Amino acid sequence: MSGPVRRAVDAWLSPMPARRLALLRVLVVGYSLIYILGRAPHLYAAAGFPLRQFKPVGPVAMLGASPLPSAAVAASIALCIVSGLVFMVGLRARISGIVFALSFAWVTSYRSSWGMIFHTENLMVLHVLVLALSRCADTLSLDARRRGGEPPPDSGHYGWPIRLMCAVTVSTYCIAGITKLQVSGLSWITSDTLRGLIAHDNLRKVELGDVYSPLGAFLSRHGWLFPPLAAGSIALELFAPLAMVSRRLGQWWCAAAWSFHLGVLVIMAIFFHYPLIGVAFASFFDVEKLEARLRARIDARRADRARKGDVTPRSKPASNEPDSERAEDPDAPR
Amino acid sequence: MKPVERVRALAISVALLVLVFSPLMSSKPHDDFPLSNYPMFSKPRNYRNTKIRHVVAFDAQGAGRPVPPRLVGTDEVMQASQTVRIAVRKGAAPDLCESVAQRVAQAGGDWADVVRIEVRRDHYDAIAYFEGDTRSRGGRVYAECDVEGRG
Repeated sequence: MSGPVRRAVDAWLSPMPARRLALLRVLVVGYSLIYILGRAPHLYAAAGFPLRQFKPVGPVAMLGASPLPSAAVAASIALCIVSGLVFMVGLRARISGIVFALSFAWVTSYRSSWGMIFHTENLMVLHVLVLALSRCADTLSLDARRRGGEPPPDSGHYGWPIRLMCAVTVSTYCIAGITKLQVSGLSWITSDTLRGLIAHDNLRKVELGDVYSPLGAFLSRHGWLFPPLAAGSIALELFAPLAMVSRRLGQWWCAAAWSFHLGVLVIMAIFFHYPLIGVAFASFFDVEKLEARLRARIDARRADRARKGDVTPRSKPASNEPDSERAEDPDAPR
Repeated sequence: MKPVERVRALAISVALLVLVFSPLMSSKPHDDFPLSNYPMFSKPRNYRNTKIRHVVAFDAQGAGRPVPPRLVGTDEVMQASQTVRIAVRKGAAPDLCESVAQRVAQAGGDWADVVRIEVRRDHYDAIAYFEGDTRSRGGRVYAECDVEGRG
């Protein structure tokens, strides 16, 4: 291996805390579970769509032209929920993770196989897959509790999956930018393409009897606004891979991408829930430090209430919190 | 990490990233799930002549209003749009019209005054629309049907 390649590989495999990856498992899988539970009626509704709408995508393509019977749709949703719950708590995570990743990909693909692909779900499915292929339950899990012993030290085992989640995230944005240039060229920026998209999308919502964005409708009357907005959007997408260069740059990019989705919500009434809630960007942050700060704050509040005679304060911090993390964070409980 | 673990980690990382980028690599980039080239906002729209396929409900006086997604059979606006589009393309607009009419008949409330349903395509100038000119500039009716007991 040549020098630069070796350095890149070493950087990719460099250590990160086990707790960070474990917290990402809890966050991403927990969020996916809540999403599936909330969407279960919609997911099951696909069983009642007319056959003419069936256009299988992803793994569902293996069904050919024959959709599943409704009992099988219900069973696949149930398997997804149960395996997700088991994976989230970290029980037999090697197996439950794979079962959840596959069933989650299946259930969401099945829902997208009726003429409308839900692009809000792609990244979630890919993140779950990365977690399923990693050692994300080495701590903060029932598996770890059963094994006992000290929390594992920082390791490359926990570094590459986190970097891969970040890389997948930026890749999806970069691909969207490349596609815009492939389809429309630079005129996507210089012409009124974005204005047309926003006006068209809002009009379609009105004429299909749904909620639209009055602000987007108002702004679409002012054509001069859109080339700068288009340039900003496409720069955010095309240069997304720069977010992998440094942690700080990554966090700034996350803030920009989050703002971009907020803009889409405000002017197009499209709710990209996974990035807007923030879970999509969690892998760019030291989530274990945020957790420690949150714990410290909760403990301080409890102690404060205990002084006033409300409750008994907690005598010690969470037993499975590694010492190294507490040492890093001056606010962490001791 | 042991050498074999390093190789496994690198193999998974490279394989997944190649997969994620694969929709761009085919000669005809295409949308799919969960791997996609995310084409949804890439194509220019002729917003001066926006064609909308939708379902419209009419009262006895002939005043029309769009039928919302839940009465088209879904809670998702884009799914409703695709439902109408596919029904029109596959010659099933009359079936869709009947099923919407049944749901409207059961809905009551705000929909109690509806006597007729149309599956139609309307043309609008999207900018003029939001300046107040909401009239359709042309279009086509693919199917029409009465709401049972109100015709």
